Amino acid sequence: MLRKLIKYEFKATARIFLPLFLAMLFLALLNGLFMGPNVGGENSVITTLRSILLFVYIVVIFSLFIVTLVITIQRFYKNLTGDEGYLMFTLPVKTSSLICSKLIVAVIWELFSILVTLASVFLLFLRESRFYGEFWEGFSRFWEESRRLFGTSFEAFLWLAAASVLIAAVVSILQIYTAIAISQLFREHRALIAIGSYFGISIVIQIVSSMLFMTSFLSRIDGLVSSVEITAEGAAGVAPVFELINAVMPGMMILDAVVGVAFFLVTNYIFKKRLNLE
Amino acid sequence: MQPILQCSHLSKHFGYLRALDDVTFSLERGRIIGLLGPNGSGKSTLIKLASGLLVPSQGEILVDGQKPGLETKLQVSYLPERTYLNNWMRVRDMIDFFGDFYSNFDKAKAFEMLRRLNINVRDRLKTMSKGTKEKVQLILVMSRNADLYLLDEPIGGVDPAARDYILNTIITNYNENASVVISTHLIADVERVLDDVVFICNGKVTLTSSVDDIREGQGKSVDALFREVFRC
Repeated sequence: MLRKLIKYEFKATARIFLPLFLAMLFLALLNGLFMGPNVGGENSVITTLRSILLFVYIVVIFSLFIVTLVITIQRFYKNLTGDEGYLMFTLPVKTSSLICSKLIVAVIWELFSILVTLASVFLLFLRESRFYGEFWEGFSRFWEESRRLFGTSFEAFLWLAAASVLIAAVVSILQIYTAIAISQLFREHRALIAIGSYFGISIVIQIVSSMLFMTSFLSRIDGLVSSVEITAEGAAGVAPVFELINAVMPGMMILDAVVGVAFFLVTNYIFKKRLNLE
Repeated sequence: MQPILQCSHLSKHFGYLRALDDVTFSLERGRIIGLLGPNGSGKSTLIKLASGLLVPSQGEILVDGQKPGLETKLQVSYLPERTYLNNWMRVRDMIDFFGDFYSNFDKAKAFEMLRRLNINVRDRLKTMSKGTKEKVQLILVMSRNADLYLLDEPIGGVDPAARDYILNTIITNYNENASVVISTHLIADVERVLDDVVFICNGKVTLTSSVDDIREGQGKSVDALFREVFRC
């Protein structure tokens, strides 16, 4: 049943995201066509058009990320706690499947939004094909240099960073879900309570995490920092920087994941046992 | 045979408000039951408990011997007072949706009823009037081969002609093992289709009886009795 829920969740959201993605790629393409060095010369019409196109493109990038957030909230709030909730919560599916379907689809759109934005940036340089070669060259040089300097710890760092970004994305969406779920425990001012709980949760997490940071990380940092020696031979001594970061990151990821699981359990409990649709 | 719906000492509180208060009764299979009471008497709360949208504060509610959950949600076909249809969908999408999630949904039956009420399956729900949406919703609910139909104010928003068609649909579309619960305060309209009535007032069930017993025993219609019992 989770598969079917995901299918309908995609249907409901694709009609908003796909046109936006297309608009973005199309605008990037237009910008790319007009951005070449020899296009139009001093022609002021072309120059104006060029700036307008660039402005619209940037607006679309911003709106895509706002839309991603709004849709994430709206699909959960409206489809589960609004009138449509009467349909969703009487389907023969588990409450956890309802939450998971929303979460999975929201994360996927978030990732796609980032990927499409990056892809569109490449389209901007359409008329300067040299750029692609230079970019690739620069990128490989950066990659090789980093590996030479930092060794395998750099690669490990990238993997860890990617994983922690993904976890953070999931947890941040679950925090929104939890805030909305908490608001369902009250009969009035639900939207206001949802916003309030969201910031309340953020503050609590800030306090707890900074306390954990103080007690656990700072006690170990002396030992770790002393292992980083800046030697006269140059940068070779900074290699342990990433080892240092890599040593800390898994712990932070686990903490993040624990918070995420707690968010999920709270949301699931409220929807299962304390649901009271308006 | 096991009753299709059983409540024993069932209570539901919302804070200080006792929406249902120590309710005990059961409903048999193969009956059309009127759940009758004034506004705010607890009709919707009872139906929501049976459909699994609410969890009891005290006591127990059983659908076919089971607590509301995954299995009972497949057996129960629930029509809320709200329109829960997704506005961006077309009628056809809604039919596919029901077909996907309910193994007991009869698509052919739904198409036939839509045709009878002149509703185009390609129409978007967004462009429909409130009454038409209610008709679509009722058709979706009645096209399921369920064991228990819970209809919360099913005829409130539709015109009298459609009202008759809908009531006829209800009586002709359920099988002898299924029961239909109709909650309403428009008693005169539904009286002719009812087998049993449950009177509910201030969260308490004040009367459960068959319609025949009311007519023969008291010599009056359900409507007249209701007006007498709930006189303001």
